[in-house]
Amino acid sequence: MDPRDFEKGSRLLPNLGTSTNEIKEIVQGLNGPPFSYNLTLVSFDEKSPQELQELLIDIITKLNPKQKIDLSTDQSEIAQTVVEFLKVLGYTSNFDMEFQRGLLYGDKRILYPIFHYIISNLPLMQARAYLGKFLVTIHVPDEFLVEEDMKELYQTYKELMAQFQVTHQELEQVRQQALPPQELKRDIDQLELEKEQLVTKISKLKARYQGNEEFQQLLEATSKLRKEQEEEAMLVEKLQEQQQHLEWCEGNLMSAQQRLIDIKKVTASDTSAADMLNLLRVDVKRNREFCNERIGRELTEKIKRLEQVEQLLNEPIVSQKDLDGLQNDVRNLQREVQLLEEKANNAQNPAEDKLGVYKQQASLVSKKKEKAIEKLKSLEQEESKLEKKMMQKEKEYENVKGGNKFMSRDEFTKYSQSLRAKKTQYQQMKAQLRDIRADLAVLGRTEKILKGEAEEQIREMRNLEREHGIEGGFQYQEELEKISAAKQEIDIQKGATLDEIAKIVEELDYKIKENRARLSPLVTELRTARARFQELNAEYESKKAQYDTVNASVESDRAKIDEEVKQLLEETNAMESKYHLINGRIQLADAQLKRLLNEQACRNGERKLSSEYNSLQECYNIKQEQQTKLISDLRNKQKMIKETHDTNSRQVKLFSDLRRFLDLKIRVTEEENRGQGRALRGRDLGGEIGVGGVNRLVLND
Amino acid sequence: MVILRCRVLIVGDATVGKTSMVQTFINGPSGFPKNYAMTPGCEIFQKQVKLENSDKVVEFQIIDTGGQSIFKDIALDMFPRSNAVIFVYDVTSQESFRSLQYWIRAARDTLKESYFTGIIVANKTDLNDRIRVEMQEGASFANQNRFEFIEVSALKTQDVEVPFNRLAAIFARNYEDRVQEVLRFS
Repeated sequence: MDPRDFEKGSRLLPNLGTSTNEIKEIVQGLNGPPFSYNLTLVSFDEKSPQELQELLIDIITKLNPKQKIDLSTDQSEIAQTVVEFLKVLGYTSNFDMEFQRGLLYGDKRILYPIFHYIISNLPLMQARAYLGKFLVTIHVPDEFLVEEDMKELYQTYKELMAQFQVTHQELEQVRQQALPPQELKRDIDQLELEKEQLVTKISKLKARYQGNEEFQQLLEATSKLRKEQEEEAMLVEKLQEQQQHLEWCEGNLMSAQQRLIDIKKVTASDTSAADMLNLLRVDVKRNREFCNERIGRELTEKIKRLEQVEQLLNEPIVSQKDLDGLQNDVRNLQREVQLLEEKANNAQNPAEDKLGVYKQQASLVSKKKEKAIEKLKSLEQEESKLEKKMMQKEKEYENVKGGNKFMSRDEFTKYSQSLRAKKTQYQQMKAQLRDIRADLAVLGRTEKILKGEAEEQIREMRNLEREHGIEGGFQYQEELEKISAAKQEIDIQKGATLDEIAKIVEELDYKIKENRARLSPLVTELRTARARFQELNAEYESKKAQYDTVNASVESDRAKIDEEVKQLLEETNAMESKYHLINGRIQLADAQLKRLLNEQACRNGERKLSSEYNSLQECYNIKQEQQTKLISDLRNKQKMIKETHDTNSRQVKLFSDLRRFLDLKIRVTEEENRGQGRALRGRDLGGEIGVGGVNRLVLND
Repeated sequence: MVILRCRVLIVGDATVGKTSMVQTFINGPSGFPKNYAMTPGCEIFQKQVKLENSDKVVEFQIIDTGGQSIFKDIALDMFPRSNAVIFVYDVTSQESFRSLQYWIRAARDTLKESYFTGIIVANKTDLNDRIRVEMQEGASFANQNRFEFIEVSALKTQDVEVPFNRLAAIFARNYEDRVQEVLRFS
């Protein structure tokens, strides 16, 4: 709500339930026809309750001029009539006492919604106000209707009311359908205008060619030419017509001739009635045959197809394998049939030569027939296809149109109306265009004239200059003017740029100021923060130094301890090893001790060491004795060997030599026994060895 | 670093070279004794062996037993306190080879386990011309008893560390298996 409205309202009465937009609409409506009060928002708002009431009554009287409300009469009566009128208008309210009082005192809360209701639906309101007078029933109490006259009167009243309704509706329809007279008038005006234009044109042309003597001739010639042209077109049309007619006649003639020939044929031979009858019979028969043949064939085909389909339906589901088998069968059968046919042909040909020809002909004819039928079928199929297509197209068209298949009567009338309106519009536009063109021609002409004048002026100017001795002055002046215009433009541009710059500078200044204001608290904050940072940094440095010293000492301690730990670990390891070693020794010692105790027990005669020896000592002693004996034996042996070593080694050498000799001897004799010629001689070996079984060997000292 | 401790018993007949082998393993070639000295009872030694590709160290506690028959009871006493046994024979002595059967049986009887870690070592391979036990014989015997077979020469310090390295590897593997088993159950 407008605050100003609210203020005023608070002074008068609180204006609730109406928005400013609605008020604006009310004021606009009141300023428009048929009221035209020339109100402003403020003046409307400042109206006193009395004025508002008057305004309402004024509106009501404007809507319904017959409704006269006298302001001087009693206020409550005025309210009554107003309420009744509002009821006629279809205004929805409870119409209670408060509402009536509001009406009387011009309460804005009551009056504004009424204004808005009326203004926003003005045409409807006008219609209702007009109709209300006739259609609102006069309430007659039942007791008065008992009277005969009264009852009749009331009945006629009702009838008249119904009649009025019908008439009104008809009127509305007529109004809607009929072109408004204004438009018609406009059309007429336009046509008259056109006529005038044409007349002027003709008169112009006439005026132009008035003086020309040949004009008359020319006119005649042209009119003749046109007439001839028209005639020519007519003749061409006629020619076409005639040709069509001719074709049709020829067709007729042909058929007639055919018939004539047929009849002649019939009449050429005996022309008895019986013959004719026969002929007709034959004809009938042929037709019947044709019927039977064709329809019968179609029928049998259809039945066959039906049977096939039934068979297919009855049969179990065929697998690919079955299908293959069947196809194979079919192929085989076809081949057989071919063979049989060939055979049959071969067999028949020589015997029935004459008949064969006819048969052939018959078969040919039947084939042709079949072909023709097939063609017919295909054509029929095509037709059906095309029909389907057409249906589809129609449907599509319907979809596109969104309505009925074809235009309904109403639609058509509407369409024609719109067409008419468009046509008038088009004509108007055309007229306008023509006017504009005419104007353009006139203007072009004037421009040309003016240009000529200007040139003349310039020429004159130059002449004058020449006379005064300031040739070219005009040109200079022109150039000067041009330059000054350019300069002005540049100046304007410059001014604009300067303004812009100034604006930018101002903006920048403003921004700088703004930023400075924004920054100053931050700067102070930064300063304090810096101071704090320095403080903290110093503290940090000192703490760090402290930490470093402590860390260093700790590190050195740690290193020392590490070293110690290492040493201790090594020591521990060594000790552990030693411990284990000692432990091993202890175990050994235990074993020894055990042995010792055992020995002690043995010596005391408590136990026997083994089956052989009583005690270890005994065992030792015996072993020792054995060893000493062994030693003495070995010593003796050594001594003997030492003594006999030289001779013995010589002996060994000699015997080994002897062995070599004997070996050689064996080889030689073996060789001799095997081959006499290639025997080895003793000579070859450096000794005197006899040949052939005599064994002599001389050993040199 | 993890130290695994393994006690190895070295057994075999007298004069097969048990002490020589142990000494050369511990002290290198200079450890080979110049003269024979009978080992009376038992001697104990320690040596660490670093395993390849691992941070584990096996510390061997080597018990060198006396081969003389009179010290046999001490050796037998030490069997149940050992983790592994190295049986040594002399390739020039058939008798020493045959005695291994006795040693193995003794070990099995005292350890009460049909399978234990053991290695058969053939010593004195440097005496080529006096070999009485061929390599194949020793290998097949070891295979029968499911022990590994290794030929060494204590005199030449040839391969004396091999039996110990093999033992270390086997011992470490067994240890790992046991750890896995424990983890699985816990």
